[in-house]
Amino acid sequence: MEFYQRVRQLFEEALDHPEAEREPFLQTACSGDPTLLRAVERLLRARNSSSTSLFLETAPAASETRIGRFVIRGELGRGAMGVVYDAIDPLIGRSVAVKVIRLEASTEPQQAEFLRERLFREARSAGQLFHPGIVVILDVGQQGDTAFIAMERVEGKSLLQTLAGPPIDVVQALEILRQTSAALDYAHERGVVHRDIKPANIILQDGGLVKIADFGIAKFISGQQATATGVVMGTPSYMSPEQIESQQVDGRTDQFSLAVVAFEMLTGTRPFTSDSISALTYMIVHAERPSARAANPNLPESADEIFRTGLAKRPEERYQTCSQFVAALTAALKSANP
Amino acid sequence: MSGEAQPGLTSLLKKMQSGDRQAGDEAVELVYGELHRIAARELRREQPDHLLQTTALIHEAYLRLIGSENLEIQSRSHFFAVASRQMRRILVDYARSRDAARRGGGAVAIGLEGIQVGQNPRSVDLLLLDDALVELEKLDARAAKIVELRYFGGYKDNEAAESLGISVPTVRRDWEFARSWLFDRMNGHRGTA
Repeated sequence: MEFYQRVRQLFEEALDHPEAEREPFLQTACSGDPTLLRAVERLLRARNSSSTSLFLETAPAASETRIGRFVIRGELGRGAMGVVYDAIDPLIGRSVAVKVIRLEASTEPQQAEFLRERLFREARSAGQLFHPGIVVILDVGQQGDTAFIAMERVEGKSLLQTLAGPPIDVVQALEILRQTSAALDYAHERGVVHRDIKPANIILQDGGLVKIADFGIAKFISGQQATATGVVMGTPSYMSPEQIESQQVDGRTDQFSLAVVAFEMLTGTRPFTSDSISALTYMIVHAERPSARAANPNLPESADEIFRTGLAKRPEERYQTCSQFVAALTAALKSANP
Repeated sequence: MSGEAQPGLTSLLKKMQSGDRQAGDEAVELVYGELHRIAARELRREQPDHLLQTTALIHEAYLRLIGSENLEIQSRSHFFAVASRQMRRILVDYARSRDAARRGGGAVAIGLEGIQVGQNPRSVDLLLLDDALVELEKLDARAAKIVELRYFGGYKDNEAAESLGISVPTVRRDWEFARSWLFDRMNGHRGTA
């Protein structure tokens, strides 16, 4: 009984500390008692796992587990911030993907509440988007201390997975960009900016249809840490200067990121690379725009100019719509290789 | 099936307050009986996607047993406690019988196949949970009770707080810890904490 009390007390005290300080705190508090330390550590890990798996947060069922109205059939994958489940919407009998997100990004409950509100607001605006190139958001809700987003289930590989394989040919790359830009322009016309365009969020379905996933909500589910000063993103390689400087974003922000993706598809390398995140973000904001031809000499001269425009530091110097960017790129590449 | 409530439960709950143990036992059996009847009806339905929503079942039992009477807080708290305990009893017994039937092989009635359909790997193993809860009860009765109220009873934090006469933050702290403890326990750790 005594041991239990001590473990429990340390567990709660550890949780009063910010995540980064928990381990040092426990080392000190448990000095001389490794059994105690192990027990508390195990329980803290169990706490995380039980949150992401919604342990005991869904009703005891005779035959199944539900999140909201969706019946869980299995797991599709695990991300940094939560799990994605394969589920079915029993009202319609349709397959959906349900992403479960643990909202504890910091110690304060107000932060979690703040995140939750923002997440729901984003999901609501993304929920207005109905376009063949955009993964539809079906529902958003909360169960216990976890939030969930139900979305259309899409079969296919992400562009990230595809880029890991053999190089994509130019015609296919342009088609992917064309579909992506059409979907992005549609969203921008409705005032919704994606803010995290990158290969992982571009899904290539069998049959050739391209879909963009996680509109507006990407920053909540792709392994990002929220801090007191704002949201810091996980992979800045595709971020625009205005995002790095926490300034206003609009459709041209997505155009920048799309240009980075295009650069990568056509040259096999990213325009801005560095080992450190701070160096990388500095480059994006300040460094000279790189030459696409230097990375891939097969590209025509005009390609460099197009990427220079697309990757301009200031949004007003870029193409004003994503389709304009892709159209320019297509014209340049077609005239070089008719 | 009468549409009228059984007023007996209300007075039994009142007597429970003043420590009348026999009244307490009778109340428990009344609630159990009603809940069991309702749950069995739901479980018999055998649709592949049927869900046992304990809150709905308890609510139905409440309506049948207490009707539209306004229970005072103390009685209501007792009802919460009794209902969630009995709900646990029903579900665990059900899981046990299902388990036995599966292991018994041989004479599996046709009806039992409906139970196997939709057997979901994500469902919590109720028997394991029950065992773990029994262990937790020895160490921290209040935390175990909160799990019972919340999980088996489907009650919310403020209802659990009311039932136990504690604050909502205390409920949440107990829940947070109990849940982690149970998860850890059910995933194979014995003989600690």
